[in-house]
Amino acid sequence: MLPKKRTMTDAPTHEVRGGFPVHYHYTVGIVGEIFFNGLKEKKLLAVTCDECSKTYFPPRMYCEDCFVELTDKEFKVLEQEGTIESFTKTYKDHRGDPLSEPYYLALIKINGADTVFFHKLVNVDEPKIGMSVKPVWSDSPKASLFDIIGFEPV
Amino acid sequence: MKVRGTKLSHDEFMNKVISVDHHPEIEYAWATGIAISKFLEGLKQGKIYGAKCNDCNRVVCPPRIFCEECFSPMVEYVELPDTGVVNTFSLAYIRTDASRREKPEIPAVIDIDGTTLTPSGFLHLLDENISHDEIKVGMKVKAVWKPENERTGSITDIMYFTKMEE
Amino acid sequence: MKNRKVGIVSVGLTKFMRRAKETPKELAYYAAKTALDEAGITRRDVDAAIIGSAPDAFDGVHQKHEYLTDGAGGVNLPTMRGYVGGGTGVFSPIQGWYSIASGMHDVVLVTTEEKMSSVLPSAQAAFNTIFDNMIERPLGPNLVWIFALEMRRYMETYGIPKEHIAAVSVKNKGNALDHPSAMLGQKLTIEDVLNSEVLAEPVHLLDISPVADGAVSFVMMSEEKIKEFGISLDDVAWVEGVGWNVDTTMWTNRDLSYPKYVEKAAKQAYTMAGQKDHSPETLRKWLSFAEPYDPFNYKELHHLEGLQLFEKGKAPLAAYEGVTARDGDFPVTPSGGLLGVGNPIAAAAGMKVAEVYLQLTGKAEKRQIPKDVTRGLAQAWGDLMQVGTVIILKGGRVE
Repeated sequence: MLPKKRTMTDAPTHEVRGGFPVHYHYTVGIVGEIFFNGLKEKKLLAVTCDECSKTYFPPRMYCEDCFVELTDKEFKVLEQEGTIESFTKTYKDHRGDPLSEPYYLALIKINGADTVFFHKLVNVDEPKIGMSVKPVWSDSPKASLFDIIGFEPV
Repeated sequence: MKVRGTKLSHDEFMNKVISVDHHPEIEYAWATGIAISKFLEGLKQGKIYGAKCNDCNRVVCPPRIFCEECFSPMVEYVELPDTGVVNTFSLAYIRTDASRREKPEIPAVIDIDGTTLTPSGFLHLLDENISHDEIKVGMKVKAVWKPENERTGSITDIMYFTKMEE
Repeated sequence: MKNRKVGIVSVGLTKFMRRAKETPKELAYYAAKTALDEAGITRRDVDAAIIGSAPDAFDGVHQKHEYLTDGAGGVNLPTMRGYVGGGTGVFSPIQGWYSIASGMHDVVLVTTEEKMSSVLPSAQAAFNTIFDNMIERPLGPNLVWIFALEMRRYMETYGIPKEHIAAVSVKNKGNALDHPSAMLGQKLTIEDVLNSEVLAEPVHLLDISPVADGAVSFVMMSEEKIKEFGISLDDVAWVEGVGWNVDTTMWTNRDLSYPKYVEKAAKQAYTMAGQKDHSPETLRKWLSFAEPYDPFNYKELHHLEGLQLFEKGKAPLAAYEGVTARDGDFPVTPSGGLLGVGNPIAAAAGMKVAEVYLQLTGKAEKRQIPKDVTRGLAQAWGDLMQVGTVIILKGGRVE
């Protein structure tokens, strides 16, 4: 039982502010290097697990199911076309402020892959699940996710 | 057993391998709750508050609304003197970002006078102008306060603790 | 109901590195896959996965356990992360123990991982957030302060000379020269340690372990499963005792000269293992060696005392006199420890448990203690200097 005297709560609440004074530098890792260098050459590189035949795009070091290593496998170039598995339209930025130009984000299954890839849609008014899309490449690729500007209808 | 891993130099890590940078933009606003609000309000008034447990009778500082040993509610705040004893201290030449200081700051745990059963207190700084040879565990110290009109209800309302004259 | 008998049957380690090219998941995969291969099993044989990783703020990935799940072999399994700060690396195999001992699972893959190079400007900046946000962080503290303060209180209470503490750095960094994962094996003298850069008096640069990237995994099994797989008892170390304990967060209200929480964790583990006599002489005969947590050189000593392996204030002289050398009367940290092998937090404590396994199964190669070893202890410590985690292993053929 709490004490009857409520003298413990007589002080006004103060507020202390603080941040998290860090930033991060993430290496993309062993297979990340292969994937991002592929983007720089405007290629979509994938890798297939021999045991379960699953094709990963983006590629990975290991099959998460069979747990076999894929690093030494041949990374194959996928065709530059896929289908929209799902999409959303975003109206606000990460701070919650309204975007001047709302845009679409989509899960795209590149033909030949068994996994989906998360990216923007461009040059599209009314996307549909199942719609065929292809990457729009930057003119100055530099091994970054944004070497692909977005995916547009075929 | 094979031991794997690819070591990178600082230059390779920062400039050669492909990487992604992230600068989190978050800030926190912490409401100070019941007991620490009292503690901070006390500091604003130039007072150090502790709290008393009616079960084990100990007086602790900083104050809290429960005794973590008996797990019973604390029933009252106790105004303590602004003096204490150095429990331990360091001469610190390293900053949070790992850069170095010429003149050390002197963090210390100060056991506040008037706390009972086992002495208790809080982290603060010692006067940087005390000669390093004079600083000892067990040294008696007194709070040096900011002028009243500059106090905001913060742990920094005490600027530091300085050596008490014998 | 009686607990089932549980053994560690294999370990897997990565190199410990200041900066790894691999992502945290990729490091976890190296360790987990190595442990599975060493046990001669595949992920299909695994019933559950356990992930140990310290604050998310180092890797810079929130909810690190779900991020690590695929690399730790935990996809579509009962996978979980237990978290007790720096104590995590010993707590993770404890979790493995109780999920098997309880009868819930038979084969558990345990992975401990940390990638500390991701955080800039330094790991200090992330460590800073362990201080109380309301009445400590406004003072601008950094992590070294807290250890400097604890170390001074320890030295002052027992009149310990710095030379005796420095001997731990010399021993551990020397032992690490023989560890294949080590990043900082060095042949040093006590003078080198005493004359190294002062960070926060009494802490000097060579008193501290280096931040690191790395991962360590274990395969743990029930006795029944070990028989079923036909695993030789020469490759098994049985979990004989476990213990853990947490003290108050109010660290400025504690006795900084003695880790009471380590004592409580250790006594829990000794009692579970059937060892009722907790006197240092008895325990040092009963255990062949120990791997206490050594992120700072004085912590190894502090912990040896908390573990009841030496009287209060007596561990430093023992280290100075060579009692705790690899070929001493009571070897301590034959691995090289965090000071020498490196300190990727959860993985560092994982490395200590791995060392106990490797010593007991005679697989420690150049680090093998030059006497018969039957029983060893690993201990870790963490949160706001308030957690003790302890595991005791014995050789596969030891009764």
